[in-house]
Amino acid sequence: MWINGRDLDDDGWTLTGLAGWMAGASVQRGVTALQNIGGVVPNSQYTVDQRTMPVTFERSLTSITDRDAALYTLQDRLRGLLWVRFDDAPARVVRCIATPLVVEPMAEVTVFSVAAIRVRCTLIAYDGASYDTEPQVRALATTPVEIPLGTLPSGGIVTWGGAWTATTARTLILRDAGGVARTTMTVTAPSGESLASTDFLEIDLLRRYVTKVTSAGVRTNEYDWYTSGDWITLDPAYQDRAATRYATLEISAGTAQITYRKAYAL
Amino acid sequence: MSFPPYGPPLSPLALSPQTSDLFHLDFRYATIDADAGTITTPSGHVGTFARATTLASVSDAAGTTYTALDGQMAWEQRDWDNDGVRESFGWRTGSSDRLAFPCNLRPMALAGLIEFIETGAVIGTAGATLLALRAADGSGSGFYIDTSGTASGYYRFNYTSGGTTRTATLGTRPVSGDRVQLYWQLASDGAVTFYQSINGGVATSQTSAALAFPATWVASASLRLNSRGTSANPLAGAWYRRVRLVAGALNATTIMERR
Repeated sequence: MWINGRDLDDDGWTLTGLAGWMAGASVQRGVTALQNIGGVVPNSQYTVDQRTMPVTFERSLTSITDRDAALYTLQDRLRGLLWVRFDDAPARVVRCIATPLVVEPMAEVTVFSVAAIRVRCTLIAYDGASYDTEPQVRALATTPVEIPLGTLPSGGIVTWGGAWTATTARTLILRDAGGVARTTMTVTAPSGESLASTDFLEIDLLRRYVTKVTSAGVRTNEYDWYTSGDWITLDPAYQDRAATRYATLEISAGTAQITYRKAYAL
Repeated sequence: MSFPPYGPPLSPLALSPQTSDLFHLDFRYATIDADAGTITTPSGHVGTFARATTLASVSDAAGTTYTALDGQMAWEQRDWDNDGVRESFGWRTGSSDRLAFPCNLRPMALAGLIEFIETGAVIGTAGATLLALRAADGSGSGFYIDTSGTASGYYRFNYTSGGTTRTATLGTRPVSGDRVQLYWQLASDGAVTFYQSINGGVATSQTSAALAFPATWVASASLRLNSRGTSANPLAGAWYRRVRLVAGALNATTIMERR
């Protein structure tokens, strides 16, 4: 088990107990009433319960001083936001925080010993997801480019360049694995505004920012360039992992790339 | 009334990625703010990027190439574990990319690591700089890693107190496409031991003479990747994976562990 890049074995600690690591987060979705049908269906608004992972560590000791030092070290390792990896899935990370350590109590009949110590705490992942350690970058084109995802939606940043004249609309199209256009997001340069061939737009799909970046590095909020269509969401519902067929993105003109990270429920 | 009434205050940094490193830039985990145009490291350093031209032939995860526009960081996916798969995310640079992180690092014994894939720095201009802790004009007390020769140089670690410089120059060099790990120990007496491992091979090293630390590093120093200053000095050109600086003695095993 690595915490923020540090193998706890290097500090003499051994992970002896782990629960909840492979327990999917509970998701609650909002609902939308359907017209002319007596009922509702889930909508895109959802909340995720935090995921808890109780862990137990053990360490051999040589003295009480050694015990104190070991506990200080472990508490330092568990401070702040943690990026945790496990041996059985080294290419994934979970972002979490740790509750305070609890030293397992000695039984009453046990003769006090400093030979070993066992401590427990709980890792809390607030979004319940795990993530690939490596982000992905894909060059987009006017023909569909596959965007492999995990099992949860991903955010991402689209960088979109190429000379772009005023009042010209361009589209970013998300298609499912079968080629059906699921979302078409239209971006239009307003009257009097444009992109030079060396400028570009950055579209933050997660935070819904549209930012223009000039070749001089000047950044301006250009959310008003987003003129119609739904906002693009990279949703694994549109892919067929077993058939290695994935949703695709394409642009109508210009040059573009997307940078994103796969997310998983388990 | 209880005291303190609200309990001990918690640092807001608890909500941000943390590391106990002096500096830790891993491009996989850097926070890229598309709105502000900044890149924040897991150690909390905020960097700014500059390149006043395009950079062609940058490869994505599928091996498709694209051209990064002016001021656009060229994210490129490369094979780091030599299995033929472009799994590793990093920053590709050309001969005019600069990325600088202002920092107030104090002179101290420290160890460091930089991982990259060679794309031509050692066969480029003498002095091409991979990493530096220098002022904006590339001068002052600090340290930097550059190349020793014009057409067939070696990487070298330079530590300068301002008036005096100690240099550890390696005796072997990578060729384009090699995976390179450079790591070093700046000891408490100011002696530098500089290591190089190419393609995961056994590291070779060189050690410089000692030199007492200055009271402070140069004012307004920044940790700079691919350059030594904001305008002067030759730029390296490489595919960068990550950089770490940790206080104290070098532990080659732990410094290479990834988050």
